[in-house]
Amino acid sequence: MQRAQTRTTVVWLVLLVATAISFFTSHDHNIAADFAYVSICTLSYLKCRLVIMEFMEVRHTPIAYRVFFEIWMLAVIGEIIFFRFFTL
Amino acid sequence: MVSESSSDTLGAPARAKGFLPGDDGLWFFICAEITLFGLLFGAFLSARAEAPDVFRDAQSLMVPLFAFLNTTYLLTSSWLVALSVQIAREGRLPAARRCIDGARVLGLLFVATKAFEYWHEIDLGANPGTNPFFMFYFVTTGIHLGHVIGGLGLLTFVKTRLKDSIEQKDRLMWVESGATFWHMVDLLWLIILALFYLLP
Repeated sequence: MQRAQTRTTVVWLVLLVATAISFFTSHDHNIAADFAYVSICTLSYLKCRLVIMEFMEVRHTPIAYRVFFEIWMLAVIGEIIFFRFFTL
Repeated sequence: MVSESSSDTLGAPARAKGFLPGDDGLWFFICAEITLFGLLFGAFLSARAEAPDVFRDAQSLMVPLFAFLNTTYLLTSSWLVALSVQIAREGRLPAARRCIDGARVLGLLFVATKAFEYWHEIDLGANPGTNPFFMFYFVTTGIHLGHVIGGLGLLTFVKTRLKDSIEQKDRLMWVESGATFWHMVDLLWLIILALFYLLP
């Protein structure tokens, strides 16, 4: 069980680092807006996936739940990308 | 639903495929909740695509420090709650209660910071009627804040279930359910953070 707790702690640290990088990317005006947008989307997707799969333990749930959460994440990130790059 | 194996203290249940932590009904509720939030996010994005300048100007009034602090509070509280589940499975109840206490303190800090942030924004003249950005902002974060407060109540109840006098099966059902709800609150915040504070 110690291994599980270590894994959870590593996930928490990765989430904090990814959050710090997201803030840096968002507020550094030397970074092109489109690149920052896609980077923040990617980091948000990775963070959500870690929370869902590791903290909520969805990776151990029946396949219907895993599929639902995967689709939900892709749909949310997809709409964020779509409304930025594929609308007038 | 708590399977027989969920009382296993070696972590095997969490590795067995098909294990659903906590209450089955709660999972249905969570799937419905995040779907509704997904639609709300879509409505926000659609409105922003129609008036990008209005949204960009309004977003520039947001204070990143508040968002950074609140994200740190929620991620850390989620970590403590995840640890409390693992520790409760081992039967180390005092340690599990301490993790829940830590998570509750961080949750309260989130509420206090959010209240201060609202006060600051209203002081600048922003309110739900100012423009579409602030309408979506106050509605979305307000509903989320309600979930944080509800989650704090649930965690308080979970702490009362972490007692020797309660069967391990029932105890785990409560701590896993409370944890799952709290992680959902964390999950939704990560998207809110991106939409209202980070995306340029």
